[in-house]
Amino acid sequence: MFSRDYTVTKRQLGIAFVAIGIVGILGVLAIDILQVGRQGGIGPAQAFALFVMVVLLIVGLTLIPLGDAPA
Amino acid sequence: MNTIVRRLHRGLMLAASLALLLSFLVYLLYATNLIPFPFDYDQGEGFELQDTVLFSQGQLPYRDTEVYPFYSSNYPPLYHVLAAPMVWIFGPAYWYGRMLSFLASLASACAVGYAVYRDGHRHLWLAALSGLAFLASNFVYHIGPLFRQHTLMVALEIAAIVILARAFPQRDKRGIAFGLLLLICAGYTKQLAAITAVAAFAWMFLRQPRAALRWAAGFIVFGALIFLWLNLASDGHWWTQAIVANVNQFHPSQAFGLFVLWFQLHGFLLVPAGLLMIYETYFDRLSIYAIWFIFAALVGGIASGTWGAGDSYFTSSIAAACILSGICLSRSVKAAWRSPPWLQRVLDGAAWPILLLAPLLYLGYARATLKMPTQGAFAPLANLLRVEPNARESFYDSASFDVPGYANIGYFVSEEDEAAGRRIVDLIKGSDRPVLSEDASFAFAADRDIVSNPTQLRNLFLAGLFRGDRLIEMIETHQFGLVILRAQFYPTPVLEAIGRAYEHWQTIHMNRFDYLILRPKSGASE
Repeated sequence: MFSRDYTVTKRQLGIAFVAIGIVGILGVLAIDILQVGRQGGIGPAQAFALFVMVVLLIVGLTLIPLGDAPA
Repeated sequence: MNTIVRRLHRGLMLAASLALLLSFLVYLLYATNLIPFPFDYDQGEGFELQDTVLFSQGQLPYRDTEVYPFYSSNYPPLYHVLAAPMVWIFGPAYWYGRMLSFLASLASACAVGYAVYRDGHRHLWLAALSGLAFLASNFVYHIGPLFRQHTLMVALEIAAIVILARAFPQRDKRGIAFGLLLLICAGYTKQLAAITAVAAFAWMFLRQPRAALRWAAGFIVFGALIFLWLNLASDGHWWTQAIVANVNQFHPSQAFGLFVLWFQLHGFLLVPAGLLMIYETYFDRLSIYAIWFIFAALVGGIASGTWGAGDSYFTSSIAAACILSGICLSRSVKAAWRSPPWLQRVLDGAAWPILLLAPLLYLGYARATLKMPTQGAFAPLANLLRVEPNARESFYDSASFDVPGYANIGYFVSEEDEAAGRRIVDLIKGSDRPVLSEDASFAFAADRDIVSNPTQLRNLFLAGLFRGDRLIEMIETHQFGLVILRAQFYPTPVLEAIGRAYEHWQTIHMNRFDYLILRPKSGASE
């Protein structure tokens, strides 16, 4: 992987985005599950983070089919 | 048809140029008006001058705030170090720090234009418009000529990014080293440059992971050595004052409001910038400008919601947007896309609408970011454009002053403002004791000690790192001839002590702010 001319492909970038997106979405939602007694549901900061993670997930999914094209 | 479209294109380009040149003229007038002004225009300028003075004396401004003069800085040193030689020649003054920032903003615009010219198929006119568009941004405009380190940081960031964009793919070691050195300089001008450094390395990793990791290792070691030296030389105060004390409360509504304002003002450029990023994502390689834009807009934008931050945190993203939109429009006008056949057919079909759209976007942007005086020579134009003063009595700012976190400045200072400042200085000279002032400029003008840095004391207090026993004792025993408050930034116990020991004497209005002048309560010895 770490040869001199190695470069990250769109598929790899897509997989990374999907992984970050899924972990991020679960993490944002987990804040409400884990913080017992916290009131008010999903706040504006959480909603924003959730939006960013969903966008990342969607972009990642659309990048995967582009295969070995350099990112 | 073709000739008519081309003539229309040129006419619209001329109109866009005139509109952005008008904006540039207002910026020049604003800078010319502000640079000689001898008092604080933006809160904190005087403390940046104090940092500069301390560096000129070979001292570090990262200090123990529990002992007189209770002063410390929370900013890295480079900007003040660069300005320090001017203290040797001219003594403490605001004009050279403001001039340094102003020149940095002009250099930033040149770097933006150069990037568009080099990477956007050498369309000189659109490159020039991109540079002017950067300066036309309301966020860039009002911070540009201030005695603040932010503009220099942005200039160093842009230079680093523009150099790396070419040097890294070409494996030009000298170019890469220089680009990264500029990033270190940006980081030691203001901590916020860390976002740009992360973006640059993320892009380098996408291109050549092995080389990126090697360069990152060297970058971290070099940066860490400077960090350690500063910490050792300041007995650990660098860590406390410049790092720990900079972690402030986050206000989501401020960040959200600024995001909305950022889009309202810069939307005409953000849309083509976004289209280029989509194109790069799916049909080309991601450029360093795109990665920089995403990091700067997202992380910088979120950081803008912290206490003490504001719209200036978007400046780097605006530079990136100006470059991306300029490249997008230059390639479109020059029909220089390398696309799959189906997309190429779409772009070919849109050739002449793009010729008209490109200058129209800059025209729309110039209107969206309009700010100008509404009196004097500008009165006829203000009437023509139907703008009325909404930021002070004789200034219009399209951003208005309604969004929390938007720096409510940009208007021109008047002779009355300077006279008001002189009155405060005269009051200080009436006492032979030091003054406790939230604005350092008056103490500079009266040749008194600069005592405390209120926002820094507030941040330290909230972090549990400032007790203020000695300062409170000095207040309670009336050891300050006057207390001058502008925004009451001091920690609550300090303000309470002031309330117990000092009484309101008079209020002096300067630069839209009411300066409260307090003197020892009656019965206290003069």
